[in-house]
Amino acid sequence: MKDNDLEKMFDTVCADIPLKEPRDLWPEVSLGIKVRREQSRPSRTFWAAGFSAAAVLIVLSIPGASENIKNGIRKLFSSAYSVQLGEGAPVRGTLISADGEVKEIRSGDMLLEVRVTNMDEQRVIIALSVFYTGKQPDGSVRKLIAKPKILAMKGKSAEVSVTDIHGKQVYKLKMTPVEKSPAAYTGTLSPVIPGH
Amino acid sequence: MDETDETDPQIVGRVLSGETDAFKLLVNRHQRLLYDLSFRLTGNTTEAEDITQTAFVKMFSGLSSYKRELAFKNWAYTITLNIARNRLKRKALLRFLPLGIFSPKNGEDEVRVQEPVEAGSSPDARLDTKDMRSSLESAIAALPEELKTSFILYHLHKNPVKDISETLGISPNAVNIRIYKARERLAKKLTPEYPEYFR
Repeated sequence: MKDNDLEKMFDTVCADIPLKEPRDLWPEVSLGIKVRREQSRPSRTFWAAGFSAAAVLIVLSIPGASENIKNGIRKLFSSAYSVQLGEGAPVRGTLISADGEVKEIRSGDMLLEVRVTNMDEQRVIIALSVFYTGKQPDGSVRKLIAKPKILAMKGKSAEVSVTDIHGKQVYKLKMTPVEKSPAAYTGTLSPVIPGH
Repeated sequence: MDETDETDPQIVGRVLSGETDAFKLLVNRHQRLLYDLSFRLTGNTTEAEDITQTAFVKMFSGLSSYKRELAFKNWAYTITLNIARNRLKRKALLRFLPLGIFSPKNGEDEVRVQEPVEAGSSPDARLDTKDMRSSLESAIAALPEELKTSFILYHLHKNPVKDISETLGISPNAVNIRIYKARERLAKKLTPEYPEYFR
């Protein structure tokens, strides 16, 4: 058959195939842009860090300044999780992490890097990097399998699934990120007495 | 539907001058094609949504590097394709991991393309046309990635060869060859079952 005929034939049969319709993607895109901006914000310069340290020293010298110090502490998350590999039994635990801190969960040859980042009063972003740590044919021992990221509500269970090329679920992480209350931050400030 | 008659480069100009919310217009205008391409490459609605969203975020971040003499759509296609290809490579890796759970179970077949429920199809729609269309979509899904991409961009998204060449970074002649090979394979596969359509 001539190519022109083939082309006409496929023009005709493909005319009936509708495009797949997505839902409105803008809310997620908008959120992704905000997250990207936060991540790409330049780190503080030496001078800024120095100034900030000086500011803390000044605050410390003011009586009743403990609230100010408390506000400067990074948020802490205590997240109950369960990890399920394929159809195996889920492994459960609790992950304590500071805002934006990367923590690791191991399950056999799989390694999960979990980052819980505060978004606002109600929401957090859970970013996962799933690695296979067995030896690969090319000699490497750490291959990134998937890098999903989801928006989750604080105190509510969120689920992240990793699927294989056939769409079959191979990995599932369930997590309930809970922000620790300000009362959970405890500490004392003792005066240093010379000669003691 | 589009809410504006502005061209893509004009909208890009507005976003770059600080009207970041104008980027929503670009998302609304192009999400359907990019999602459709991502879905046909991955066969998974969640994955396709994630790829499309990631692509838009990447476009936003790299908007200052977008050359306005090129079509925004082609640039958007290129970014989406790169993300989709990287995802497919990662997913393909799962097949080689020494874990039994990554192999399909007995009876489970290879590529599964989810078919979203078709809105508005009348009950008396011709079943054979539907069957043929479904078989054609499955056959397209089973094509090698590079043939599949060229075929989709040409026959389903109705892009001219010149634009596909710009998107894929290959010559127009190479695009034509890929589309030709795709047509040949599809016709060979579908003619025995649907001779009335593929003659």
